[in-house]
Amino acid sequence: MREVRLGRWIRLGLLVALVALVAAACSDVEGGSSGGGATGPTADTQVPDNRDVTITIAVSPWDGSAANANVAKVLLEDELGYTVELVEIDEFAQFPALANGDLDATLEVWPSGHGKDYKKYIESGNGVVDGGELGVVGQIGWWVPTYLVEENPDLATWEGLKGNEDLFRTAESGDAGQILDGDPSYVTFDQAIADNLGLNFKVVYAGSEAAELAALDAAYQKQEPILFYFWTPHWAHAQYDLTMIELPEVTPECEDAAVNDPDAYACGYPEDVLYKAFHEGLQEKAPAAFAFLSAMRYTNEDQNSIALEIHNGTDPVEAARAWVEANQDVWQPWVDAGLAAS
Amino acid sequence: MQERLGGSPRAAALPGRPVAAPGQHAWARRAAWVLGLGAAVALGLRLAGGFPERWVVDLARSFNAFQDWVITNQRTHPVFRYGLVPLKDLVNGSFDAIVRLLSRMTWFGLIATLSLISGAAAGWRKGVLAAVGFGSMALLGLWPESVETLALMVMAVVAALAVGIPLGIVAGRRPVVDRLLRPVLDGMQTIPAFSYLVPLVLLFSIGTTTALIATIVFALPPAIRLTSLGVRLVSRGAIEVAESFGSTRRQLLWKVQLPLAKPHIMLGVNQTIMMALGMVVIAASVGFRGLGRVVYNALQRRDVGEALAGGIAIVVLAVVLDRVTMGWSERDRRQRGVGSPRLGRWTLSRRAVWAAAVAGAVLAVVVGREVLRQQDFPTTWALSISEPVNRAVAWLTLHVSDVTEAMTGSMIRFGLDPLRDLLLGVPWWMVAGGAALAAWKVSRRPGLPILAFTCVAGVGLVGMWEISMDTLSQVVVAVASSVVLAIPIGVWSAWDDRVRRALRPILDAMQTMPQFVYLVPVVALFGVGRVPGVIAALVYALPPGIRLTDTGIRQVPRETVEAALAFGSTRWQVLTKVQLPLARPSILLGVNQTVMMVLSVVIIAGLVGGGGLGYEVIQGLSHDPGRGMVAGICILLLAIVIDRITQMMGRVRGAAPAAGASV
Repeated sequence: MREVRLGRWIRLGLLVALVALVAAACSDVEGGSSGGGATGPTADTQVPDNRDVTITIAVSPWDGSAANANVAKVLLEDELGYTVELVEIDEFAQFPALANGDLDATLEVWPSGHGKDYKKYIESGNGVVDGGELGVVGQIGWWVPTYLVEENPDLATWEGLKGNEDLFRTAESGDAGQILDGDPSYVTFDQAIADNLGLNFKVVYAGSEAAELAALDAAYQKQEPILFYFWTPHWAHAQYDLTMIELPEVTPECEDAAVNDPDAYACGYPEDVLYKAFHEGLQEKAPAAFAFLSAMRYTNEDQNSIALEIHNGTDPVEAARAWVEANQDVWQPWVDAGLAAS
Repeated sequence: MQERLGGSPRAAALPGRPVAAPGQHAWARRAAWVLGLGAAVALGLRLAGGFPERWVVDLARSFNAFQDWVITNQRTHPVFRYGLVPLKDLVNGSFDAIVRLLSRMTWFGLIATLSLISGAAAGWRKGVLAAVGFGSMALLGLWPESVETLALMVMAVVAALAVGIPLGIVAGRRPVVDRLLRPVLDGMQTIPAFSYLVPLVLLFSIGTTTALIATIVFALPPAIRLTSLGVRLVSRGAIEVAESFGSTRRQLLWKVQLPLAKPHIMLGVNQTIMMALGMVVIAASVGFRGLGRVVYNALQRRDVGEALAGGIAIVVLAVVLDRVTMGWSERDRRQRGVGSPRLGRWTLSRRAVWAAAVAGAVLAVVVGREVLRQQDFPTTWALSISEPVNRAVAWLTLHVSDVTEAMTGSMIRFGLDPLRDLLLGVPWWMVAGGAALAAWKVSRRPGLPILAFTCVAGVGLVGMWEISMDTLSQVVVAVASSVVLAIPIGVWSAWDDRVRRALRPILDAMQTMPQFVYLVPVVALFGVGRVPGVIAALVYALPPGIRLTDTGIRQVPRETVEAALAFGSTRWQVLTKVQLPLARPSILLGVNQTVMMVLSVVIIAGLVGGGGLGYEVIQGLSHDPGRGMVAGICILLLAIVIDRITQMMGRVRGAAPAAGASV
């Protein structure tokens, strides 16, 4: 009985091995694979040959990040001759991977969400270096669909929300109005802000951006009220007309509270000046790439124009290439910095 | 509360209950119980509720200290430099090699090879199923991703079996090992992967290795459990016979125990594959590509259609692998000693079948490479289901959500809120005592009550009392709704073969579709909050309840039913007095499975606004990994209590059918 069974396994193994051998003996089928994925250096004699050096860049799960990474990819490959690999990866895993060199760079870090990481990895010198500002500025805040403000212009400010909390009541928030928070990786002070401003709101944590957006979409389709924690830049602004509610300006007291006593926070959110972060060994491994990425800097408009194309279904590399072709004046300095360093 | 969970009124009204004869006496006792519990709860609500804060132990801090140690030492410490990093590189390298190899077989060659293997191993019908299944994955435009996921599955399953089967054999032969392993296996299955992803990423960085380890952790338990069970179930008689003929221990294992345990081991293989597929999407969050990445990215863009395409590919992969492995083991049992397969009037030897399969596979690879000259499935041939699905979801949101929102409101008002208020209103020792009491009622021994009390108290000790009670209230509501739905559907399915056939693929899809796929529509219909979490858990947890009710009722002997009918019973009487009582052990096993499955998707509640332990685990990813791990442990503690109690319910009452049958 046992011999029979063994024989079966052996035959199966043989079959697999044989087929594997046939396949292994061959190389990739020409023209069959994913097309011109790796463009490689062009025939241009100006381009240095760094083909053997692979730069891995993180792509966070949002289109703006895909825009940054693909612009960097196109330029690093076409102008500086590197091989670039993009890794789609959640934010929580990026700093550990940057520290040990599995990632070379991440191009869009939101400071508000990564205060601890900055301290642990960058300030303490644990494998990650600050790569400078990306140029894109983020803004977190409270948002409502614009149709609400058109109906009742008072709702555009926090003072106007007072007394109108009932508009935003849901089954989950009970007697209070609901503020909907999304992905827990961002820092929020929403409950403290509401309490300290004397607003009767309860924060409901959606727990994921997807759930928050699903709720926004449902409310938008039915033109119902919804108040939620959100930010710009984000692709959703292309699809939904949203208005940010005016909260009190950030004061020194609030900056202090943010660090020491979050419950006392009573302002709007400060701007998020997005920055880049690199593996500490990048400079040695690829000086030109390091110089290029350090110099890389563009505006919200630049990033938005690419992100929107990606959101509408354009292949991210193509969207980035289209921007590169139209904006040489923006990126030439980055490439020059790279060429100077090599 | 535990009372309500298991002791449905049906159980009370059963005939032939071994404890006491039905009548006035039982009713009086029951009434006394209810009154006593009511009085206790009323008293409890007047006392200070919750868990005293000064007793709380901060476990999270030590986890976080470990994290800090890794961050500062990972570039220099020898464990990393000479141990983990080379290991990671080796695994990543061999995985890439496998994927490269599979893609070089070309899509045509690979589909043909897989179908031929399936056909040769499990019969030509399974071969056709495999061809259709893999073909549809290609048609969905997800071929390269499917290959990556398939390769990860193969690696994870092989590794899990290589570890699991030997461990299972040891556990099966030594009860001590089995008892020691049990809580560990429970932990592996119920602690959500999200709570240990951060340490895994710290140790193994991002990519294949981490995804592989997370998958193995989750997929290993059934391989161990079922092997151990199979070995233990080998009859004493068979072993004694072998021993009396002078078998050595080794001979006993190889010639008696393993062959006789083989059906269980094969079931373990099958379950391991299914579990591994459950991790496909989680793998994406640590940088693995594959089908999980498709779902993940689509989710980020709120593209339900694309997420569904990825989900369907995962379901198809699961169904094909399930049917083929099951077909393989069944056929093996059927054909032992029977002749060889036939083709028309010709009898083929097994060898010829395999030779033909090999030849066919090689030919297909050659055709794929030299004739078709396509490595990946051509994108122009692919069909996109994204547009119509998204339109359908938008329509649903607009037209059905009024009804579903009303449901949301009443579920919160009459189910979730009162239950949570109750659990939080009474002091902690009353909840723990209630669990112990329920444990005593089902086991009548001190061990289980002590365990139940300790686990519930443990949840408070680690500082998660309120959050855990919030989750517990959601779990209870989900399980209760699930049981209420599953039993009638299961009965219907047992009565009518057509219903059963129609249900089968639906139930398969419900169990294997990643919850991430329906996260968005569930929120669109039920709003953000606890209710969409309950609904998502319901979708996932219904199938075992339905299946086990169906099985239980079908196992009732035909003669018993006919006898009841001959005495003039109506169909309703047959159901309530004969079929359901006799199916009780099976149904209770279904309840047990439902609870465990609801607990295993607590994380989804966290992703749709349900808060509770699921949310703690998710926030742990980015802010406080230690706290995320503690929340994961709390899920485990709750799972152990509820699992042991519901299992014991099935076991003690499992004696009933014999008595019931004689009524």
